Amino acid sequence: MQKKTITITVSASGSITAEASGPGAACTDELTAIQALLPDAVIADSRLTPAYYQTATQSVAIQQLQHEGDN
Amino acid sequence: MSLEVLLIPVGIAAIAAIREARSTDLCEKCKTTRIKDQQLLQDALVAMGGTNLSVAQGRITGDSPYGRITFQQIGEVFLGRVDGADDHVTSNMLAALDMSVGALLQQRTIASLHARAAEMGMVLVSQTAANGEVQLVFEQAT
Repeated sequence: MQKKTITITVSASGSITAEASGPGAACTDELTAIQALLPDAVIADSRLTPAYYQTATQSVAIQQLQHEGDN
Repeated sequence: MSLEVLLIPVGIAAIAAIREARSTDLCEKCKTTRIKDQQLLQDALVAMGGTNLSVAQGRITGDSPYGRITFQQIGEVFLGRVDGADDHVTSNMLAALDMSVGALLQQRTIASLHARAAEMGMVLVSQTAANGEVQLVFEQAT
């Protein structure tokens, strides 16, 4: 079974970076999970990671190959 | 899906709030800090060797290894100084305070993460420390 993973890095200054990855979840679900884990912190910034774009690119490429195969 | 989020503990201020804070007549020669939580300031001062702390709403005075200290909340954040000392003495004291605050926040965040993850049914897969940073990896079955 695939797992949802949340990696949290706490710096010496106290700032926190959280990265969520896993199958199927929407951004809002991941943000909710991160906020639930860190109720005493506020979000200052967020971004989709290169892994997201890589997955998205691979999905598009597969769709294109399937489309070409159909024709 | 993969998402990265930067978070700031509630006891400290975002950069904009720090920039807005200015020394005033309420705390002459004070320099700004990033601390907005008075209890966090008090705990950090004790951790860096502060003694005889006198605490009032928005104001802390006391003794420190750098000399007599005064902190006053101006807007969101606290400003502080070493009374009657040169600017560089105040800067050194505030640098030590900032390290103390960072260490406290790091300890508290890690303790809170362990508790919250257990409540949420997440498993701590690994915890590693390097270069002052602590990284925790949690996993949950989907």
